[in-house]
Amino acid sequence: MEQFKERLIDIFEVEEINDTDVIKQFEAWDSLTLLSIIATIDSEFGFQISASDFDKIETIADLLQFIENNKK
Amino acid sequence: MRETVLITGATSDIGKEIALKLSHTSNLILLGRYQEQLEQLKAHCANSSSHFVFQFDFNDIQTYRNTFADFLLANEIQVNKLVHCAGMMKVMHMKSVDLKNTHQIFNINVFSIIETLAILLNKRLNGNALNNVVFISAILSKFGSTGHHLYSSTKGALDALMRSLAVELAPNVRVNSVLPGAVETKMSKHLLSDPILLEKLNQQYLLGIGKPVDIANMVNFLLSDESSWITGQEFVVDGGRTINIKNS
Ligand SMILES: NC(=O)c1ccc[n+]([C@@H]2O[C@H](COP(=O)([O-])OP(=O)(O)OC[C@H]3O[C@@H](n4cnc5c(N)ncnc54)[C@H](OP(=O)(O)O)[C@@H]3O)[C@@H](O)[C@H]2O)c1
Repeated sequence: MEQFKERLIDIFEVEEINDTDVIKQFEAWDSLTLLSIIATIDSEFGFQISASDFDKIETIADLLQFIENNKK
Repeated sequence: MRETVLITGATSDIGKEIALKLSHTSNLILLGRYQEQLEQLKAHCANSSSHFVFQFDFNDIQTYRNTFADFLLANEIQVNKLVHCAGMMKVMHMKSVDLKNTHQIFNINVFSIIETLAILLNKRLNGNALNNVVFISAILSKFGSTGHHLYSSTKGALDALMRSLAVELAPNVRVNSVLPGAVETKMSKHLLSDPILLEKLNQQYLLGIGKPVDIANMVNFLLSDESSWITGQEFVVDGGRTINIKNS
């Protein structure tokens, strides 16, 4: 999970991320960022999150919880 | 005599259409990840009892060569024609790529077919049976698009492989590739379900978005004697998308 958080920091091009950060409010957020996160989750945790499931996720904490519940 | 055609990605939307079409004249080996879907497709094919299914996941590429060779030997099959339809798409920022993503897409799109060819050109396993190969590439092999670097590079690899093989294997084996534009399938459904994007695509595609049968018809032509003086070529089948300078 720590490694994944570091990858999110690189994806969003920020100094740090916090549990309460809202994903779609990062300045680097766009549709390709979404696809990059999907590919990173697949690579790190071995499952594919659909774009519609991703739509229900608001904060970093929500994302980490979703991964915790679904990882293989 | 009916020839045997191996179709990788047989249960893809494009692969299915190819299988149904070829099943009237050829015996098929349907290769895919899911036994049940393969059996269902086989049942829908003409002459269904003359076809085989071979279940394999190209993520396990290390064991593919032996497993596939054993399958051919056990069933005493020789393969005459090969259609490579299996393929996956990954879209992301280049900076987010990792080696695992890269290995996976290259395993499925490229290494799978290199391994398959090594088997089908082995005299002990397949004699001189192989006479025709068609790769399903993509117009993204020739053009750039943000986020599509991995996918494009796998399709570019297929086209380059195709040309060298066409030279090495002539005149016994003809090798060509088909480069589809956007076709309505599982792979493209996320694009085609976005109304704004669909509107744009409808302007770019002079003849509309493609259907799997549009690709199957070209594959059928390339596998047939009608194309007997054609080898080493890329065939763009894209409803006019890439020649439309106004809406590119
Ligand atoms: N749709 C388009 O707009 C478009 C445009 C240009 C090129 N193409 C190419 O057309 C071909 C067919 O795609 P499609 O559009 O019909 O999409 P699709 O229905 O999503 O088919 C993808 C195929 O790849 C196979 N595949 C994926 N991962 C695999 C793995 N790990 N091991 C073995 N097989 C695997 C799938 O097998 P299962 O059936 O077992 O899941 C499926 O048959 C692909 O090569 C694609 O790149 C499509």
